[in-house]
Amino acid sequence: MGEVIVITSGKGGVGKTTTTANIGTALASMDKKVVLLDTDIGLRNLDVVMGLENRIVYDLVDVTHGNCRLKQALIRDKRFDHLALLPAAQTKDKTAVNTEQMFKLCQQLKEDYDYVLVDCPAGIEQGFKNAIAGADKALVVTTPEIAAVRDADRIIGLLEAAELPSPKLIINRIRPDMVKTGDMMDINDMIDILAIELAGVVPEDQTIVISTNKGEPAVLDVNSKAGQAYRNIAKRIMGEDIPLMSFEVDETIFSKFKKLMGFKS
Amino acid sequence: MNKDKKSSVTFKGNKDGLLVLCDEKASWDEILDTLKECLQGKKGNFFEGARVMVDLGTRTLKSEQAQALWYIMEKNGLQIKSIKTGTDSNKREISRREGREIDVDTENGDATNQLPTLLIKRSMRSGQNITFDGNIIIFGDVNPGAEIKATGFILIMGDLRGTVHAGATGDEKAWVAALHLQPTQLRLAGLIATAPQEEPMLPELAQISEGMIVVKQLKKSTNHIDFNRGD
Ligand SMILES: Nc1ncnc2c1ncn2[C@@H]1O[C@H](COP(=O)(O)OP(=O)(O)O)[C@@H](O)[C@H]1O
Ligand SMILES: [Mg+2]
Repeated sequence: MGEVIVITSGKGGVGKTTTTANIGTALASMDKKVVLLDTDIGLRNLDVVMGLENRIVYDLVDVTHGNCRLKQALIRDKRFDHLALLPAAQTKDKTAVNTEQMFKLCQQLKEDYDYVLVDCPAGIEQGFKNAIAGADKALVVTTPEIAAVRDADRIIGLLEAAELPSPKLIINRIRPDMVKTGDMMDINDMIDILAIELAGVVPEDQTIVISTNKGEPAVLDVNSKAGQAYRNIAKRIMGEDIPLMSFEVDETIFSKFKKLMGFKS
Repeated sequence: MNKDKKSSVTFKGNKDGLLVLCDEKASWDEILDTLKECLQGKKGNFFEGARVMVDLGTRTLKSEQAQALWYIMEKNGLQIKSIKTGTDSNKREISRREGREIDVDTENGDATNQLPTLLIKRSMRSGQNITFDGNIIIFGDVNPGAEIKATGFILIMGDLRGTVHAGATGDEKAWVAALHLQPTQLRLAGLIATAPQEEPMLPELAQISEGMIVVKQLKKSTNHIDFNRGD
């Protein structure tokens, strides 16, 4: 029996889809059986980031409405046999699926896969409720911006209320140079407010943009710093004790992070 | 038995949200059971998403009871907007939309002394609000985007970064204290202040002095910490 991890944020555009694609691919590259579930109905793009857009026949709504069998809708990844994607529907809206259907689907998927990664839509409405319905754990993505941190805090409150406690934090698009000059929120400040464990820090990196456009997740590029960060997060999810990379550390945080680290259940 | 249970809690919808009236004579367990029965287990229940005002009449709440109430509500997708307890509802009716003074009982010159106190043993995150007809003590942080409103004092055993309003019905003796006082906005009765630029290192107390909000270091000897609990 695998585990269902929802990747969520509240605010849009902070890197949920990027994170889902990269962590999923990284886990698959370490021989885990992984399925990616895009719940952003009406705004699907996980398929594009994965470079699997042209293989879609059925989608999430087809599965929940019984138009096809689950296995028919799962798209096998180009690179890894044991990595699959269940795409979101593009033409329906978020109310086309309910929480009970999502819960059942997640239960079904985790029987066959080690990790079910759920890419959550922005917001706190039905789409969010659907995405967390079957989740065992949650990753909250934020960027070092006040508005994103505020929304992450809101989401953490909702996760706690939904009995999905102790979510882990991913801080995306950090620019160490800007943190140093005081032009960007530092990691300590964010952890101080959000008061949750850190799963990892991903730097601002143009290889993300390039890889997204190519449909090749950055973790496959050994020279990508963001890719490296995502590989580390994937290892932490698997329970390994991986220290922060140099760019993830802003000097003062190092000792503090030791206490915060770990992704054990 | 079953009939009694049903009548121990009454739901009333109005344009501000959902009013939950709890019978003063019913036992607390009975009330919780009824609430659970009405709300729980039904995914997408009728009230989901509603903002709830709970009126407990003359009953006062212990912190565990407030926690339990809060938990049941949130678990079922309801958001507590306010809890009214320990009050004679005829005498002390808050005008919540305007937040204006109506009739505060100040017999002994300090209304906070006679109010019930709500203990909250958790942090308040963005989007979480509480309004309480009495004093509030929070063991945790109040984050930006959270809003705390009390008719009496507000004491925060943690970092205050969100919005607080003490003396919400006009009591100018009301105060706010926090281990780290950095509110987005702080209101006392009808006055509004925002946090100063420099970060405070020590616990501080905000109160009204000569018509202004004044912040000073919170000392052990302060005689404003007066926890006359209602229960
Ligand atoms: N670490 C990063 N460095 C540079 N660009 C990034 C990074 N993370 C995300 N992006 C870009 O930000 C945009 C939004 O990311 P996306 O994953 O689609 O966010 P979400 O799913 O939360 O809406 C995309 O164009 C993506 O390429
Ligand atoms: Mg997305």
